[in-house]
Amino acid sequence: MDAPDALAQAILRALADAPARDGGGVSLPRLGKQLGLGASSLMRELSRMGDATLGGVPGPGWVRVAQQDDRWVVHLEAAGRALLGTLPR
Amino acid sequence: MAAQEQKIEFYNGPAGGWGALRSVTRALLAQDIPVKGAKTLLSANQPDGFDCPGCAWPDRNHASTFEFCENGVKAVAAEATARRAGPELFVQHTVAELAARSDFWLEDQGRLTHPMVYDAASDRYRPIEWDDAFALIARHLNALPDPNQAIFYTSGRASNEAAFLYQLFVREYGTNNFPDCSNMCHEPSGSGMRPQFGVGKGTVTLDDFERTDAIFIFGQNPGTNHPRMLGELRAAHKRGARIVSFNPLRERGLERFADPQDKREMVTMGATPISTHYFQLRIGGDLAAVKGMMKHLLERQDAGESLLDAAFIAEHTTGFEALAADLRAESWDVLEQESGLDRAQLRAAGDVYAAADSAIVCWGMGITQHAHSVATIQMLGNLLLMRGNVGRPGAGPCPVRGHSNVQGDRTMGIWEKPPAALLDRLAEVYGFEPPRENGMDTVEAIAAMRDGQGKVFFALGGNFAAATPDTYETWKGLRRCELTVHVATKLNRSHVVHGREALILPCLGRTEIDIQAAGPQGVTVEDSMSMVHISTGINPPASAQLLSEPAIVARLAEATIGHRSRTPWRWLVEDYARIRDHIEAVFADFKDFNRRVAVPGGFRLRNTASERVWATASKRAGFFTHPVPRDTPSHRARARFAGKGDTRVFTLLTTRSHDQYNTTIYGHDDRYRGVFGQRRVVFIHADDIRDIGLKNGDWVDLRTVWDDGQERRADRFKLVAYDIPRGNLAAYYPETNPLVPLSSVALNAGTPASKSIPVILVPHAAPEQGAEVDTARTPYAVGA
Repeated sequence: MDAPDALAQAILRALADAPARDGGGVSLPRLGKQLGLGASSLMRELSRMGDATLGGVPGPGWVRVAQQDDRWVVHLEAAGRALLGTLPR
Repeated sequence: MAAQEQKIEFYNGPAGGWGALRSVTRALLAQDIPVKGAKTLLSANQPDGFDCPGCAWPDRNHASTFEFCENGVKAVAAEATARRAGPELFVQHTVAELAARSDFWLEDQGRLTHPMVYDAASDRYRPIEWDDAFALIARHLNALPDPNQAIFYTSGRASNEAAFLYQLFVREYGTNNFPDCSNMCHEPSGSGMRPQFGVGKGTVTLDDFERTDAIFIFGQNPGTNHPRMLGELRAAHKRGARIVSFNPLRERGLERFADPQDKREMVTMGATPISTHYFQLRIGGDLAAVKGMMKHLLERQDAGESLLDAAFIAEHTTGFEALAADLRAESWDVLEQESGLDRAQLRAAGDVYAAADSAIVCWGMGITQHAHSVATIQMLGNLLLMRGNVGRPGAGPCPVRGHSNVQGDRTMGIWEKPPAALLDRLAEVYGFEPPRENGMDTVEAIAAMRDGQGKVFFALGGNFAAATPDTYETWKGLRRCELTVHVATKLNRSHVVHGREALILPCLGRTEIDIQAAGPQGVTVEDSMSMVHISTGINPPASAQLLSEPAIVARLAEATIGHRSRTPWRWLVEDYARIRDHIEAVFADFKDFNRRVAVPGGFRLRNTASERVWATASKRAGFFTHPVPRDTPSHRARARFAGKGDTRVFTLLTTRSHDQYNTTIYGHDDRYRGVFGQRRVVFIHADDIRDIGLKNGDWVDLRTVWDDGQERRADRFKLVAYDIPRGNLAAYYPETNPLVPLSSVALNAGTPASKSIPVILVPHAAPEQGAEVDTARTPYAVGA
């Protein structure tokens, strides 16, 4: 993913605007609910925004989905935060 | 995994319910997947999501919300596991060491991450570059003097796109050698139904389940093998439909079900009954039972009632008079003796059928894996035809398929006996002359490898060494090959039972994002009711090294036949929509494929029998007449031992545990049957245990009674008293596959007769007092 599409931008903003809880992240179900996204759509977008290599191309590493205790939490990474700073509000 | 307590403990709960939720939690934790939020990662069958890689039962609404399925979660969790079986695993273990591990342990190592090649000098797998792997396979294939010395197996998980490219490549290469998992499961369904109805697939849809008056379930255990089917059965029961089950074993999933998504049932610990009638017939007694039902119907008709659909029979069928004459002449004594049901039971089942305005008949491998399975399936068809229960709402045959795209793969041409029309079309579209002679099915392929006639074995998925019958014959064959190649997501038995050279090629799973040159790709699958829909992954691949199955096939084709093929292999896999265009070009039923599959939920392939259009030789549906089998291997084995001492011959069926899907072992429990922490058990009637002078919990060896002079044995199984007819046994596969003779197959279908193995039991010395017997970890028979 070279440039963030509208959905990626919405995810980045939701993560940046989230209250500082969950260790700075947002739980996966809560993020889906907040954005009104189905599980499949949300997970696919997060996969493309992370650092995993897809189709031989390393991902941008804007976000990270991590196991935290007994649940899944989505974190905004430095690359994502920097990118967000360049995007118009 | 810590050692698990082994116990046999009667399970009194319903299928599903809290037990299913606890089991799912354990499965997730075992794969290091946190439970909270897991629904997001594991939700199958959602809008623009992935299709569950488990069973082929259709979704009520493919575009709706998460539908709970215990086994579906296990399948998806197993693929989404955080564990990795990377090159370091193969540094740590020789293949001989890996071969000593259980099937559970092998798969539990996690996802394969790199293509690996076997190094005979070190007895280890080591990494290989993809191009080198394809070059190695191409070298072997192109060196064969006859393309028919190569064998190309297909698992039922392969997508339509992968399967289409695969059959095209293999036929351009020059053979129809397509053994597949259909050969081991529902081949007899197609073989029976095509001449009878003109189609080899079931005619019903889920809408028919909503409208039917009666559902007859033969030889199937949906609680373990198709859990989502329980939702349909539950709904049918609640609205008053009759559900009639025929099964030798008492199966909890056919008795009652608590839907984990029904808050009231969960809170009140309630459940819904499933079967209104449950007939525990003898193993293999189905044909006699159905014949008894039909004889009863005919007797009532002859007595003046109007039960048969005379107009339908006259307008749409042939062969009824011959069947009626045969039924009238059939002896009730024979029907009772061979079915294991008395005539009152057979009449009761017939009465339920007669009272239903519409009826569906379902069946599974309890029907197909017998010598006389094709005849039995045609008897089921006869039963439906007698009352016009085909091609109208709420009625029809429903063979319930196993793996998620096993039906689609056959539709795509994965068939060792391809119709001439398919070959003609391939020749026309692709400009080559496909091989016209039939290829080998699974059993024939095993024999060919064993006899040195099959030299290269390529498997697109699956676990051939564990799934197949006559285990040590199969292993001999695989070991005799010059090259074995397995496309796989996880390590399994087939990777450690290999040829002189061997490759493991790791592929993307269905849950994972597949990026090709044109962007993210989806693949299509066809479920058990002919619905075709798209599946698109959502998770990052387990490794950057993985290739998709279509990409693997295309690159292999390019390496092997690229110099002479006019097929644009690389171009096709850049965008799977192009493959679907090619599918459309070959198969008329896929007209406008890309547009139709883009609609949420996909589309249904045409099924002529459901329109009462009969694509048979006579242009009518056919009644088929078959005698009750009275000379089966079990009959012959019993006759052999009759009057010769106390030796008793039993008939054994092989079955799955609840913690198992095909050959994949997720755990060591079989909750509904009360087995925990172990797999080497044999279910037997309590009176039979007494009669052979043993006690519940004693140990026995199982030995096949066959007439080829070869010893087949599986050792050290614990006797478990169970509600099963006398003279019958049940035990899990793959542990009991060594007992299934390669020559024991379904007539006119070639499917291994794994559900009717004549065996004797030999006492096995009990383990020493206090000794720990790890029955869960012992692969196959002692002495393997």
